[in-house]
Amino acid sequence: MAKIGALTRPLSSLPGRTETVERPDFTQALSVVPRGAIAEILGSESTGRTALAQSMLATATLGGEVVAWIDCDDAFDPVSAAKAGADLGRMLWVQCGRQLEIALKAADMVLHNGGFGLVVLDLCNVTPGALYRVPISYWYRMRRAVEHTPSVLVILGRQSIARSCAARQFGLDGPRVEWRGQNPFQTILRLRSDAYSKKPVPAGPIALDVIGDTEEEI
Amino acid sequence: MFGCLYGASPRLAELAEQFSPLVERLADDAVVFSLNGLSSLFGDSHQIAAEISRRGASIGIAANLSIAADKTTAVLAARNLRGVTIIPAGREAKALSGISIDALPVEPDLLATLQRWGLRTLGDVAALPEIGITERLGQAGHRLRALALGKHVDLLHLSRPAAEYTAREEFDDPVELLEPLLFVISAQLHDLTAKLERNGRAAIRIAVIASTDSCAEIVRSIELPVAMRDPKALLKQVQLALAAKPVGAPVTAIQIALDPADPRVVQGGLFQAAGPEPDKLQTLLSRLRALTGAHRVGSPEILNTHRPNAFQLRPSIFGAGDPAPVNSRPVRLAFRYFRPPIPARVTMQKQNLRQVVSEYATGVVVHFAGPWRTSGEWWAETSWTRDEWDVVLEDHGVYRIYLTTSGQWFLEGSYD
Repeated sequence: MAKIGALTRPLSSLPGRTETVERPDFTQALSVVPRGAIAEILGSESTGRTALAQSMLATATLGGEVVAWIDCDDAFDPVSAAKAGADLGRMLWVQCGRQLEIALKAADMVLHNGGFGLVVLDLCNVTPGALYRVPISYWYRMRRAVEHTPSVLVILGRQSIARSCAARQFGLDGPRVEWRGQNPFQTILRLRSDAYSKKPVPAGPIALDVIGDTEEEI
Repeated sequence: MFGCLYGASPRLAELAEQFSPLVERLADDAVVFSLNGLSSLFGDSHQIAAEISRRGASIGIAANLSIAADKTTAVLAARNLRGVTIIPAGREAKALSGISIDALPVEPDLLATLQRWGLRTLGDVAALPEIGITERLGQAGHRLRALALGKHVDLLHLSRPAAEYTAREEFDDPVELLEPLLFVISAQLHDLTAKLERNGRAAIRIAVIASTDSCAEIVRSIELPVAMRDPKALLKQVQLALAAKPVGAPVTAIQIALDPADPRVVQGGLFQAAGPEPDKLQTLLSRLRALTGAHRVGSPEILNTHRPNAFQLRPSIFGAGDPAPVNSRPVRLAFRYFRPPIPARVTMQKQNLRQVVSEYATGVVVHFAGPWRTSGEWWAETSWTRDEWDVVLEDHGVYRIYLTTSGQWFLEGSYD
């Protein structure tokens, strides 16, 4: 079945095929990451890493794909994902209880199982010291598992984790919040940050606009 | 065309069911079953008989087999003629002629009458004139002659008991290790899944019942979200269940029971996105549960409440996905929870937030919005009342903090 799926939807026609690496269109979330490879979305707190990944989640599930979210810190918010448009019924959420080793093992299992269009490994809150202790062979193994498949492994973190194994790397920086309403009873209208493409070609910055709740939702 | 098996084996019905769903159990030692349609699979009657004999031998059955155009002839032949008997249509009378009239399924009084007439075999009965025997014995006489000629029409009386999918193995010496135990369970599962496949069924639940030295029975029940019958996948489920919760004592006997269900039917499509195979997915989920904990893996479901962080995980079952047109969509703000919330110290000055100190984030408050008072479910243990603020700290991080009615501050999460 997987082979038939791959034949009928060749990589070049899948939404994840990168067309422009220098000016990615974040509104076509999955189009910014290549299939069969590891992509990293890196940035500090509130730069829109999770929002971008959830947008990919929504695109993939609406496209009929099954998605896995390996959540090292149990930080995933289903409500946010649903607001982003994700079909939660086509999503496997693995809570790892803030244990990096479990998260890496779970990601490895999911990738080797196959059949998941998008696998998100959320390591945003893991300390850099813990991440640097992860042997590079782990990432080579994951790259090996994902290559030549229609899957994407997206890693969320503060700084580069998979290093040379990542085929695509985005850095997000300089978050700015725009508010709606009278102070102090305000809500977030927009979160804007600068997105840099670090791999394969350094480029940027490009503005990443992350919109908050609409007035109807409030 | 009908086949009849006659012998002392308790597995006659099981053998018959390998060839036809239309099986009548006449007694503990005899079953009769329909052979219609088998010629396209195996060939003529001789080839069908050869296949039945081969499969019977493979499961250790020694029995007489007869094949005939009608049920009663097949039964008479199987009960009275040794080995394999194939009676072509039109030669029933000749094939049955040598059988004693004692074999006829008739009342003892009628049998005694026939013996007084000097009749000894079915051939003698068949030679009687039809009108004469009907005049003397009525309908019973007519039936008797039809039986002897092999022209008695009788239908199969199907009374199919619910199939049981249970296998038990007792050991001479108690087994302590999981690996040899799995070796036995593997063989049991292969037999049971073959039976499931023959009956067009699949398993939805596995029960592993281990008897231990202390005569206690330890039961491990494994619920499967989708019905399956791949023995390797089922074995993996059993392995993971026993590894996660070992029996804890030497095992003297092991029993596997499968609950049957209709197999899962999926209509595939060339343009559907490929998803994980159900069997492999169940193995993956079991392995993930063994790794992370039983209630930490699944598909999230938002609960119908305004309570913050309200969700539940349900077992993941991914059907075929129909791709919908995906247009460009704005990136929506996401929230990241700290589970559990992180205690914080917050400095306030004239209703203004000045500083937040916590294990995760510490800094001067650059901007804040709030308080937003939320409360609900006062009628339940899950009730909550709190004041929330969204704060921007000097590191540009945007967080949600809240103050409980008991005056404690918590960092609930961050916007990202």
